[in-house]
Amino acid sequence: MSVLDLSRLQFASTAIFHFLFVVLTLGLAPVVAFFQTRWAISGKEVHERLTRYWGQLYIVNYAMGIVVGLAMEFQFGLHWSGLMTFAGDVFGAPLATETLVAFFLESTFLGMWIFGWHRLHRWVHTALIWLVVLTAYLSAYWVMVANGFLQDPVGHVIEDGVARIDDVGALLTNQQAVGALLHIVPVCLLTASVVMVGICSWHFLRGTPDADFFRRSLRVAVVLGAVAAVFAVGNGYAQFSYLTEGKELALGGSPDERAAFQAEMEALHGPGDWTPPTWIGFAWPLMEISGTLSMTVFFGLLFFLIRNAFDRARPAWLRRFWHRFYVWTVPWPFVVVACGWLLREVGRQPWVVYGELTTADAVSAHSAGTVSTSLIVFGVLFATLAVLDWWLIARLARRGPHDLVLGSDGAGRDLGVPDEDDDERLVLTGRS
Amino acid sequence: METTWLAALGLLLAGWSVLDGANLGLGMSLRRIGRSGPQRRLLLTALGPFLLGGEVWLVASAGLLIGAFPALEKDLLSAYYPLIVGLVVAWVLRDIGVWFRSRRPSKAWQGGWETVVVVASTVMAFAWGLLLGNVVQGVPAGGRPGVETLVGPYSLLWGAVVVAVFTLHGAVFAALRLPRGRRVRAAGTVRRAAAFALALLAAVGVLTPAFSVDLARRLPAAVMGVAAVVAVTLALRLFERGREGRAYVCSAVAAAAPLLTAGLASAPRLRDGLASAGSLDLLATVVVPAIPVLIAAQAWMWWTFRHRVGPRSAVFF
Ligand code: HDD
Ligand code: HEM
Ligand code: HEM
Repeated sequence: MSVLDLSRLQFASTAIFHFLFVVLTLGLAPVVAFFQTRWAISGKEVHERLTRYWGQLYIVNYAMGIVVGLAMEFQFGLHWSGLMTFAGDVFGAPLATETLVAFFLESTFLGMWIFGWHRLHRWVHTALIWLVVLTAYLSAYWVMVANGFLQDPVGHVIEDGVARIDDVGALLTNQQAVGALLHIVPVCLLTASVVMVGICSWHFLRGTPDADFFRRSLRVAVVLGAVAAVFAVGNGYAQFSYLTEGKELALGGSPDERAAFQAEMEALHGPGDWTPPTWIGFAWPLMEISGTLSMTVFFGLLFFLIRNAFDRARPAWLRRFWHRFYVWTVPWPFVVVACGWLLREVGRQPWVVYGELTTADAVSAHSAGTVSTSLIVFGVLFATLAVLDWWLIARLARRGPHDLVLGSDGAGRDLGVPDEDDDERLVLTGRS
Repeated sequence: METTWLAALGLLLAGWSVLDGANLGLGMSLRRIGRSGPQRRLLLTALGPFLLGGEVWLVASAGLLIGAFPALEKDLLSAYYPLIVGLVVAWVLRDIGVWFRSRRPSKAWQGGWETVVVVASTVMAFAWGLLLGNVVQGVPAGGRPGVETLVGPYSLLWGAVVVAVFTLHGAVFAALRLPRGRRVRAAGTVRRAAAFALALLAAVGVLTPAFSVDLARRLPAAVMGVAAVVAVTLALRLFERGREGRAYVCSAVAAAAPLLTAGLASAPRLRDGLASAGSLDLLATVVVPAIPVLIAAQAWMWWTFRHRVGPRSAVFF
């Protein structure tokens, strides 16, 4: 493979890995905040357990999102020096703003939230998780401003072959940023709902003693999922109003349309292949079908909330079939999310900045050996860690709302404090 | 104007050196200061609230580098590609080690991830030192320096310096955060690390002219070097007198010193990569008003967790 292909592959896999975790982070955070708010109001133990149970899944997932994000941040400088030279002035600013204004606060607040149990006033603690939600979505916005610029470069002028910001307002209200975000936000919420419904179903299949706990979770997940599905689909179609012509081909254009577009671009930019690859055609139908199906499924589920019909429906085998279905389809939204991004990013090819800078011109001049080494190192590292992380999440999810690790003062039995051990227990078992 | 942005970058990186330097130092000594599983968990509990809030300073530095110095970021990352990849990999493993270590009760699992934390923290600090040592020797514009510079003896020396000062700083931090009765365990590490740091700093002082490294600005760099030596000495003496708070301030100066020295020594070159006025304006209008908020949030975090760990400390890592 050429350096170009290797660099693209590395970027694509890092970005997709990052987003697989981010999507759940963004989706679960508001749910956790919602539960904690109810707990702060009611003071009921079940609300505390809801907060801590879903909260611990949320933060174990968060850990991977962060570390892959770290690798993301260095991708531009490492592999896309042409992009930095041409557009660094424009697209660096939103990325910098994001790290300083959003990430910085998000991380600080999240650390305080995780370690602030038993220490902060309950309303302050609740406010912290809402601040985390707010800053997380703020960071998504700024990232999408940077990404939106690549899809449709607005608000800039080119001086001496270098792009400079000319109209900040245009950059910040770029439809490719705002419209995509309006699609992504409900997608994140939908993903979180699918995961929650899957976990609840698993516990129902097992005949859990915590039926009340999971029924409450299910109710929130289904209502959220139904609303999110509508907006995910609606805002998905809404993007058609401003997709670039090249992107429309990626959704599946006829050979004639491709030829016409190719001729048009050749007239503008000279010889070359100016159409996106055809293999990406699979991504769009998959997203459309999945969106429609999840809307149907969640609307169906709404009815099963009535008087807890979900876990009493007859015949039993059919009920079990659906429970299993929800467990097995947990990975599906993640697959769809990856396809959505592939469509967006591969559909932009051969451009990195649409119409202005080709991917081939943007890539750094490293040797293929260097890039493939780092590709293998990062690839193996992230694949291993991701599998471990999902496994840990699954373990925590299966254990149910007991021995919760979030908000624990270490007294729990499964926390790695061996019984025989020394005086450190005194500290770690605090309240006892 | 240019100096302001460079100072902002320096501030963020110095903040990272101080805050995450302590986490890295503690990580390196995790298995030395903590002798049993629960002791190590106690150390991770001590570090816990500051992990995210510490490392984010480096995330922000990288962000500011992209936003305000796009050309410099391109040169740095192209020139030091292997070092950056090593740094990021170590960073990822350090974080994951801390997050994963206590997720299962198994001894093998916990011991394994503790080793990962120790090794990854050391490698990350070392890679950072190598990077600084390279920057001092001049950032090439396009292309990569040869292996003899990238991991040459002079660069390696810088790596060792950073490991030593971070270890010192981390051990002082551990003593500051552990329950009173436990703090003595950090003392041995503090003494040894201080001795190493002094020897290595002296070596840098002697070898910089010997390797005829051409510093762009010699005087400020030398002053910073001397300040580091004084800070290490003071940190040790204050620590011996049981004044951990003050010792922490001194070791913090020592932890930030390598970065500040490198930055001062090569400031003119670094300033070359500044972004255009339009981008800087956008950054300034959004970021400047946010700075007091950022500082307030971090101060609030430090204030909240200012006590030593003890009963009722939330345990997560
Ligand atoms: C569970 C995930 C999921 C589901 C069910 C859908 N999408 Fe989607 N879609 C995404 C997840 C996603 C995504 C991963 O979040 C993308 C990638 C980039 C983006 O902005 O969102 C995306 C991108 C994306 C794009 C490309 C935008 C661009 O290239 O600029 C279009 C046109 C649509 N979506 C349209 C739809 C429609 C009409 C759907 C339903 C009928 C739909 N999506 C369901
Ligand atoms: C701020 C956000 C983002 C920016 C600025 C960005 C930018 C880029 C750049 C520079 C490339 C390499 C050049 C190219 O191939 O065009 C790329 C490729 C790619 N990115 Fe993004 N990206 C962003 C977010 C994401 C996310 C979150 C994902 C996935 C979840 C993603 C998926 C991909 C894929 C799949 C490719 C490979 C496309 C190809 O090379 O054919 N991107 N993106
Ligand atoms: C080029 C693109 C991107 C870069 C360079 C990037 C970088 C990062 C970094 C460095 C972190 C860790 C921050 C920390 O220490 O807390 C992070 C986390 C995060 N990113 Fe990204 N990111 C990119 C794309 C995206 C996209 C497209 C989204 C959402 C639409 C997103 C949303 C988040 C969120 C919500 C977090 C915090 C939660 C988590 O880590 O899971 N990022 N990212």
